[in-house]
Amino acid sequence: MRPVRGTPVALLLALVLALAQGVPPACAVVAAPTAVPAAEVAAAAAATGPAPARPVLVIGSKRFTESYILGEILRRTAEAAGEAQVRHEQGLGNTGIVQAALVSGSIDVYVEYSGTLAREILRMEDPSDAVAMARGLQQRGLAASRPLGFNNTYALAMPQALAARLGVSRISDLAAHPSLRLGLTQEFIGRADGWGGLRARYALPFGTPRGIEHGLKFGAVAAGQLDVIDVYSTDAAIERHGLRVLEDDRGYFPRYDAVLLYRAGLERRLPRTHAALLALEGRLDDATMRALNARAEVGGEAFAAVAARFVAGTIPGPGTLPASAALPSPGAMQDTGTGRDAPGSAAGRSLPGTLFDQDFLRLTVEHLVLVFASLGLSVLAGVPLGIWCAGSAAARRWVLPAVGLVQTVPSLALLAFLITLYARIGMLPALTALFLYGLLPIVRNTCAGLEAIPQSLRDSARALGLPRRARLLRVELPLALGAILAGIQTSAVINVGTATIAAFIGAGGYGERIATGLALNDGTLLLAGALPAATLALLVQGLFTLMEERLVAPPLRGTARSSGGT
Amino acid sequence: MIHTRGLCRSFGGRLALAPLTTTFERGRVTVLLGPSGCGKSTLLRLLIGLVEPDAGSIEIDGVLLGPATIVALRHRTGYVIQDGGLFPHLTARDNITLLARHLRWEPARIRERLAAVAELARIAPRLLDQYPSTLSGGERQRIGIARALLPDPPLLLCDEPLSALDPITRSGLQDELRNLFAALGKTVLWVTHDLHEAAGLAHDILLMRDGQVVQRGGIADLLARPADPFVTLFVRAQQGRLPGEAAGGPAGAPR
Repeated sequence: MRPVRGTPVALLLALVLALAQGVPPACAVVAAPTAVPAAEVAAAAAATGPAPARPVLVIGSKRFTESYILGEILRRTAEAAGEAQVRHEQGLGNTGIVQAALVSGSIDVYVEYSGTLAREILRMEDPSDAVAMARGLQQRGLAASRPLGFNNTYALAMPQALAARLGVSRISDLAAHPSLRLGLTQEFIGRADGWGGLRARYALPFGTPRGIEHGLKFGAVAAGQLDVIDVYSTDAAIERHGLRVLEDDRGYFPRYDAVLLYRAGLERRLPRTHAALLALEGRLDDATMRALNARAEVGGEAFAAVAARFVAGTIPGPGTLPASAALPSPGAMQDTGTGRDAPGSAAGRSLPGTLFDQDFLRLTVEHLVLVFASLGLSVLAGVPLGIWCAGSAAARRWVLPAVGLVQTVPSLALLAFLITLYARIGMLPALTALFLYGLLPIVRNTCAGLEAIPQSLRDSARALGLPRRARLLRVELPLALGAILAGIQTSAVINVGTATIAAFIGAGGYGERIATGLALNDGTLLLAGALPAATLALLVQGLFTLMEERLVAPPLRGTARSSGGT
Repeated sequence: MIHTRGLCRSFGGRLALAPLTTTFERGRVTVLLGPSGCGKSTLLRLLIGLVEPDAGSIEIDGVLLGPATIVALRHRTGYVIQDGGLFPHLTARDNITLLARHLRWEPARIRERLAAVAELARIAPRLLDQYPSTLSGGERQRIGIARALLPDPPLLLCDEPLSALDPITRSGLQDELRNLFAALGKTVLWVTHDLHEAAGLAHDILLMRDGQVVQRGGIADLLARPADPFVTLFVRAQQGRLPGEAAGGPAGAPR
């Protein structure tokens, strides 16, 4: 085994990995208004679609639970009209892709949200301007239905029992309970129409709470770690965890009403189908949509089956579903029906301004605590484990693969497991995860460094009459120190990158900016988190180089290791 | 005085040392001589406890070597190996004083003893602050010898200490060591495959082959009364390298 040394390459890799692992599930839904290869989509549609004997209606959907279900509902409804051959192109992608498919004629209709339509697609200043909306749609050759009924926007929610005990049913009721613990997603905290405005509108007596990942906060509220969280108003998890959605009694949240968005002329091409689809207007309220989402996510029913229930009229009512597990399953975390796209970047601030924002010091301190506290634990456990491995083949056979295995567990999965284990969020599970990730380089390098000591030197130390402990402390560890430090350095540098994940479970650090930046598709904010993390990694690298110069005996410094030969 | 009784050891089915019952007298230099793999180093490593015997026992100055006594016995034994066996992370000074520091000697005592062994091994004071990698082979070997002498052990075990040195350094150091051993009255066991080194140092020679002692005696005995054709072969092979030298034995042999 060769000792691992932390190199700038490893550093960059670590960062990239951390970023890749850190992409929140919400990111899959973040709108990227790119010009999408419509031809590609069309080609795909042509490849799968048979030659039409009857006129064809193609329905599209986005890549999350609610959109899949709605697509299936449209398909069944259209089929029932008996006019066209109907196909559902499931989960095409985000708003940009589905839009391109619609404009290019690859699909005919899909369900969009009014807020997204106004802001993302039509780029309107005032989402409530009906005239401007009609004009914008017409320009693009599109038409929209009236709302289907549900409004999938942000909402605040809290456990039924707690809400009942405190008598809280509206957001304005929260003002009387300043001791409640809030847990909000980074996206919600960072959005222009999120926490800041909400707090001002309702004069809420809370400071800015810790950010927490969407998929994890339900577990936290179920475990009693949080009292109030932000939710999407049709989120299946609301049912599942027995939460009460608080009424937005001052009308703060913008509307994200579901509407049919279709190609203009559909009413002439397929009049009966068009009429059947428009008959869905006003038929899907929030509770119904939540129940349908829950059927699919919690009940595990196929989207088609859920849609069939709705179309057949056996709409599952709220409260009929199996109640909460502690955490959403990994699958559910990947695909929580968020039901609406982010309206885009929060603000166009400059990078330096964002970088040294007022939270810079706090984030730095949190990041340093995360990195060095976990590193300290990794050293305390890793060096003895490495010594054990160097002295015992059996230990080598079990310990090294075990600490290696930890590295293969994705960080969010590990965090989810640790939250369940500890029944809490924040520093403790974050430190534990970082501690576990930091073990491998230290254990391996300690073991390799000790094994690399020539037998003649071990013999000399024994023959001198030094007992086991003295040999270890006076000879073997000093000889292996270069390798051990290199292992600790690798762990530290990797930790700096991995610690950005901690933000997803409310442990803070630079990851807060990265998580928020990713959720909002805000490149500036993302950079304002990634740059300090990268800089910190370089500083850590430098610190260890200095430490090596201070601690390691001069002949053993650097990679050239001499055992005394000329 | 060292007694071995039925001391033997094999490695992977190959006999490294056949059962050996013998005595090494106090104050004498005994050379374990023989070709590579004859078991001479194994015997030395058994005596310092780096190798466990398969059977048999070792008694040094009345103390039976075992797990409970090994550390104390090592403190009464100097062990010198090829190239000194110095620790590369320690300066020459720290190499020499490592055991004394571990035993928490008084600093003054350490200083005094360091000066004494440095003088015995003729180590220039400027070398003491250098790391082994910056020293010459001969200098490293002197440091190794000084380290072995530090606790003033009655017994010295030397495993081919001169083998890595160039001929001139080697011959000079050999003469010095002979005088040193004589002056200090140490019991010395010296391993080599070099007949001339043996002749130059030994009071007593054990010629070994395949784990067996083939002949024991002075250099004159080996030359005049070889106990075995192997002895003749071994002696002739090394004499042959020096055509000018008489078969009567090199000058400078003790006694």
